Amino acid sequence: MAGSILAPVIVYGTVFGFTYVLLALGFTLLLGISRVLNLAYGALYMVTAYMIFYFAVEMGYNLVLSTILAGGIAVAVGVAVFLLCTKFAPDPMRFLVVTLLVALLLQYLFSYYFQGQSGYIIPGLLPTKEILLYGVSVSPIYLWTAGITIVVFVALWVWIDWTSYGHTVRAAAEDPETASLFGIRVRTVYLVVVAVSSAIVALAAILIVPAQEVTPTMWVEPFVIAFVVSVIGGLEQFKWTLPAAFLLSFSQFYVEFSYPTSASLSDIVAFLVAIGFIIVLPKGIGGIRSGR
Amino acid sequence: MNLLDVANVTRTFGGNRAVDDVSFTMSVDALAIVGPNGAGKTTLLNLIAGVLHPDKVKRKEKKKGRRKAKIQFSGKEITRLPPWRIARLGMVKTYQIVRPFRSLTVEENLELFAKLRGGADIDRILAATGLTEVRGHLSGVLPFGLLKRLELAKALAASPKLLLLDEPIGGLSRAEAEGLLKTLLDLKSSGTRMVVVEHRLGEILPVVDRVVALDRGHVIFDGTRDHFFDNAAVRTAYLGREDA
Amino acid sequence: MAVSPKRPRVAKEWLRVARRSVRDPFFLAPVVFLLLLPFLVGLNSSGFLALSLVFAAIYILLALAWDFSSGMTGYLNFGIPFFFGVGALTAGYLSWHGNRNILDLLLAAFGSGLLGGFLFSVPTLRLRGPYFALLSFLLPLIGTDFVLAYWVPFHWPTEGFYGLPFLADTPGGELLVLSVANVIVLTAFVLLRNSHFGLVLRGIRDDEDALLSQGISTFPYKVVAFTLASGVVGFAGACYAMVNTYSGVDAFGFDFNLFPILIVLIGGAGELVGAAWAGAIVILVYEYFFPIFSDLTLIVFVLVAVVLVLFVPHGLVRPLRQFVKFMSTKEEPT
Repeated sequence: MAGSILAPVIVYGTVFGFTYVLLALGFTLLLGISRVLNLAYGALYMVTAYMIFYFAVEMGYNLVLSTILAGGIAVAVGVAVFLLCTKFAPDPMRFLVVTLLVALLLQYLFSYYFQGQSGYIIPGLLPTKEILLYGVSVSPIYLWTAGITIVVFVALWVWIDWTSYGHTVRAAAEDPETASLFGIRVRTVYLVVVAVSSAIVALAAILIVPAQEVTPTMWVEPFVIAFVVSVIGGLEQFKWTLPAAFLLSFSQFYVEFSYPTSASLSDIVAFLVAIGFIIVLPKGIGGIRSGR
Repeated sequence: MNLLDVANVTRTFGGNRAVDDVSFTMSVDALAIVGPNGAGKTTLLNLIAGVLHPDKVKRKEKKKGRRKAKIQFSGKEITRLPPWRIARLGMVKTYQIVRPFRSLTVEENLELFAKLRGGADIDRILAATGLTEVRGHLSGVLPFGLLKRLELAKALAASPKLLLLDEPIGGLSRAEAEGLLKTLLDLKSSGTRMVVVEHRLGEILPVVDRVVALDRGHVIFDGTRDHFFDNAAVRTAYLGREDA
Repeated sequence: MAVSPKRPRVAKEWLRVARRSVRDPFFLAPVVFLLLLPFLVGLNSSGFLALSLVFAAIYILLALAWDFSSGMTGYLNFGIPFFFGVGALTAGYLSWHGNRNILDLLLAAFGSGLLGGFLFSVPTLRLRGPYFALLSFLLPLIGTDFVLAYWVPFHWPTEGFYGLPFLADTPGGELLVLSVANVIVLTAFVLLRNSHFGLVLRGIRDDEDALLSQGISTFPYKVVAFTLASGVVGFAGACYAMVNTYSGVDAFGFDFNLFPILIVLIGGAGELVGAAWAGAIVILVYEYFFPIFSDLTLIVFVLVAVVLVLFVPHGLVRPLRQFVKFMSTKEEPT
């Protein structure tokens, strides 16, 4: 690796890696519990962003209030979609289709309602003046995000592994039928997990979106990242999302800096890494291989 | 050469040895694997069919004299082969909990498997299993008794050299079971060989030539059915232990 | 049991399948409809109806491909836009290099679709349905990214490939070409569906585990189905490019997923024949309402799709077929 790209790759790879961890945490949590794939996860990111825009910019509310409202709406949407699907589309494939359609629906709705309004339009709660880190200019937003991600990660770990409610969640995830026989209200547990995971993705949006462009198609990226990191990390325990997230972000930045092109190749890298893992290390992807 | 050779097969779930160093051979036409609930019968059948793989023997266990698991079908080693390969070799298993292809008709269910090892005579199989009248019905709507027959018919459609039947009369009424057992006897006399796991002793023993009994994962009896009921280990397993 | 020689047996088998397929009124009706349509509209027509139907015919091709692969196996595939774009680009590229033979372009696009489909299917079809679906979801993104990234380094014309040959001289003529293509694809897929190959695909949708543990390796069947479907999608992409005489990155748009899936949902997943009717209806309705409601039309369509998935998962053809069967049997239903 040429010396000139070493610093940016490492700095960006690390900093963005934390972002990826945050995104993947919510998704892995959701997946580990409900065992169905939810494309609306990325849509919640977008909902948070547009709601902040709506309340803070269009309606002129106080920024902190707007942020809280946006987060609340995102969680509500996440829970609502989950309830709708579990009631009417319990099998994994239909669940997936419905969540995709919901994401598309939101995309078209936001595109219609906020016509032409896209770009760096969201004011942030965090300082945005870029700072220099090893010669690489980074927005402090990402540094704050990294820090908060660590806190969230540890909090989640403690919750799942050490608290009694966390054990309840694990029991409900592993064997819902037996759990309910022991008096665990599995439905409620699922709802709590969905709410927590929606809150995590909303938090990610609140932190990061001020540094990003807001567009009606912005639900795709967070979802792709969350999904690919989960696939690489294996779906059994979310602690693997840490190395997986960094693997992905380092790969992406290495390619970006080594082969600069006019468009982003990060999706292609993500795809290739995912496929690479599937072919080479399928066991690391939990029990999702078909056949033996 | 025996039709089936099972040697030193062990399978653990969690901390529980469901099948513990089980060995037996089969050269008769019909063999029953019996035992009280939880004995490991279905697990053993799944191991033979390749649905599950036997545990690998750890080094320290090897030192203690435990040997490697080995399953052979007509002399060919099939340990750890995927189930579809084993089925291609001629050993076909049915399911205790029936798994028809619900959106296909009875006939289509059979056609699926008929291509497996060269075309089987579907009409003959439908007649042999008493399903001719419902051949055009969607399998998803069949009553339970007919679904059990369909399980058997599907396995037959694959022209098996050895049938592995997992509780073929489980859940059937006395009369329905009688009908299915007669079908099994007819199949046996026309040359189909079978291993049957069954819970209902009295009904299955007259059909088979040899019995292997399991209790808590171990083989406690391997002999003809004449000596079965008098065997001390068998009696203890079924009737209760005096020293428990 | 005497074993008869293999070749006459295979031929007899396909004749049986063909005879059974052709006798099905649900198959004959759309075939007749598709073939008559261009003549009803008028081979020389250039009107709104003809233009809309041309696009409908392209979407019907896509719907058939999607139904044959995803509809029948249950493995949802969101990669249509990718192979569509690949087909369009193949046609555009060849045309730009001087080849203006329509048949060449179409065959090349079909071939590139086949190749792409195969390359994608082989590593990914080892995964369970939902994971395969998500990987396929990445494909259109990759297509767009790749094209945008390398367009300039490849020295392709900046705005896209222009000047492709027209598929036919008039929209009416294009409709004829596309209708014939649809009939061929529909027939081929229906024949496959009614054969043992189709049985396995439907079995995969019902219970793939049972198939696997009862001796059938499902992998080759899935790969063949998806490869064929991708070939058809590539072909459709070339048609799209030639109808517009332009081939560019727009062909990779994710929106090309929506209509085929909606059409299949209405027609009934795995039924194939429903796609023809449903396609014409969906596109005509869209073209009629779009000038009035503009982007809201799309929103309504997505809502309709959601309702269908949740409440009418089997589409319209299957209940219709059962109704016809019910009306025509003389026995009491059991």
